Amino acid sequence: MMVVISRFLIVAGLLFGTGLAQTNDVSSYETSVRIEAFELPVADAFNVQKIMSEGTAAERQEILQRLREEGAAGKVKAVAKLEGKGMAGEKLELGSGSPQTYPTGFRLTGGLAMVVSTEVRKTGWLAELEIATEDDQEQRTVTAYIRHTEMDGSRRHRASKTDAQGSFEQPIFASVSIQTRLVMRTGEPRLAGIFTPTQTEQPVSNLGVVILTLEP
Amino acid sequence: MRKTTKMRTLLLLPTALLFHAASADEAAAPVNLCVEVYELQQAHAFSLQRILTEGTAAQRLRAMEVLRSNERPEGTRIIAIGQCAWKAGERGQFSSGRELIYPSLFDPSPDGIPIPSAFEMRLVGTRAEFELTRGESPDALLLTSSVRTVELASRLANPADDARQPVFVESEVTTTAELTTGVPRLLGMHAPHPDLRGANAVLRVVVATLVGAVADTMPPPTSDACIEVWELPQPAAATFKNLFEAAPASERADVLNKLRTSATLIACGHRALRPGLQSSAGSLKEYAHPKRFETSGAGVHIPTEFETTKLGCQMPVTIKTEGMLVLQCGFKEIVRLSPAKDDTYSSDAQGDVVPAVFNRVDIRADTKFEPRVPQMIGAYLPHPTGKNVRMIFATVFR
Repeated sequence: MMVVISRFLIVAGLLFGTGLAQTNDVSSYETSVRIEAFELPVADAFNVQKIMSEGTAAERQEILQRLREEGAAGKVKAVAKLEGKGMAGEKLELGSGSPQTYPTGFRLTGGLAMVVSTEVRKTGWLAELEIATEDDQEQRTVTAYIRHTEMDGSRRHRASKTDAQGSFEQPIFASVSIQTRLVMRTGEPRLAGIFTPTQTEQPVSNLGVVILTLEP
Repeated sequence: MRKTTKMRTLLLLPTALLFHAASADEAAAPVNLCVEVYELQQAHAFSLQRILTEGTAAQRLRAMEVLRSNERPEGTRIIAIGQCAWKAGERGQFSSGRELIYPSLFDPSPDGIPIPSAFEMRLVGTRAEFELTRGESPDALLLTSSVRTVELASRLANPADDARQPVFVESEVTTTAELTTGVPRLLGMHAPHPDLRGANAVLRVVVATLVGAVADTMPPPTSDACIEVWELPQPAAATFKNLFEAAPASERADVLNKLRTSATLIACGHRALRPGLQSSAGSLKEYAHPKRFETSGAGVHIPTEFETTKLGCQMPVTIKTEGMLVLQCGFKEIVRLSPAKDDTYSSDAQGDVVPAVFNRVDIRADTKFEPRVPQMIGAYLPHPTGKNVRMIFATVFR
């Protein structure tokens, strides 16, 4: 009897392990990802939150469709739209924007500050995604780091009294970042995050909502 | 043969169970956490504090719905709202703000101008970091979070003229609290630094919600502490002290509530508490004053390096017993006496830099509490000594 139980457990253990190994073999699935961001009045953003967290798939699709239509009509501010395709299990980077170079280090030479090092910062929307499949073939786990960066003025620093130009400039960036992980079904939008826009007027009256959709 | 099979079983069984456990954990759905930071008029803030610590799930939800709607009370300001989703056991974050780059080290030029040689970046805005683990009750999650808001307290000095540093105020609520789905939880409440609030009697509240339909009408148990510091004229303080101490325990919260309408709030720190874990709630001004100077060819003293002193009130609380009703409550205040303005340094008639002078207050008391019955844990005379006295109260919400 003991032998039978033991063999059963061995087989069960092996099957379990094999099953998981199959789950992790995701290289053959290509997924299309769409990230959309909208700025809405605070109360509307919480309404979107409620539908996205408690509503049915159809209700979630309906609210996203409405946001798209109102965005196109200029009633709400559609601030981002990123689309791309990626293989499950691999990293996917979606972005739009332009790189900005700015000085980060100076050395005083003959009374003048010389730029000795610079950094490059990409402005615009950037999303780093990783998509993994679940046991349910229609389901994906999406890990996303979504960031928006824009120039928000600059500061000038005096290099020297004798410097003809008199100054050098460093940019100020405004940024929003959200690190998020969602379990999603293809075709069903999910709320990836809510953020306080950096450029919103004071007091804050609008919130940003980021919605992620996977398409087959 | 039979022995070998048993050995295999013993080796493979834990492996199978381990796979099963990992699989169950991986299947756990991510949760959505929404963190909201509001600035409210004092009376509204204390009213919200009461609802979020004593109210039912429905009352808490209603209170938050009002703040989120266009009918929020007059004077309410949204400081930051953020939401993201992630799995229990992992760290999540969101941030929003301006990345301010400012010079932090300088070289003196021969003609006496400080030339920036190194820079630092500070996010002026809000950054929240969190981690969720399983709570004590089966449907609860334990949230460890840090919500920090950095604001500029002074206009940026023009570095073309000197090396004065920007003055930041960092408001922080760091706590560990139990949450159930759909029920808003007060993580903390604090008075913003006086440089931010000016003459406005306002408080900031930090509320977290696991987004979703309410799973249970019973919110998780509260385990919070709140310290308040009020300033009032000395004769009034003596009268109030007698009244407060003579009041029965059941009436002390009402007596303290009356003080809130007549005295000036100096500091307030409410935060969720867990035994053995750190928590804080407050707003401190970061004053960068010179640490090292160099003399330029023109004989001018140029500050080349700075160090930072945090000014304002800190209210540390340590749990002394597991039942959480004996706490060590503290109050620390650091104020700058000179230079009087926000200039990060000042010079005397000879051109020498005058060092900054600070005044410190440090009060600590081990106090036994009854739930929701405020205790007076200390009093002090602010510097310079005038006609007023500051009284410190603590309340445990359990």
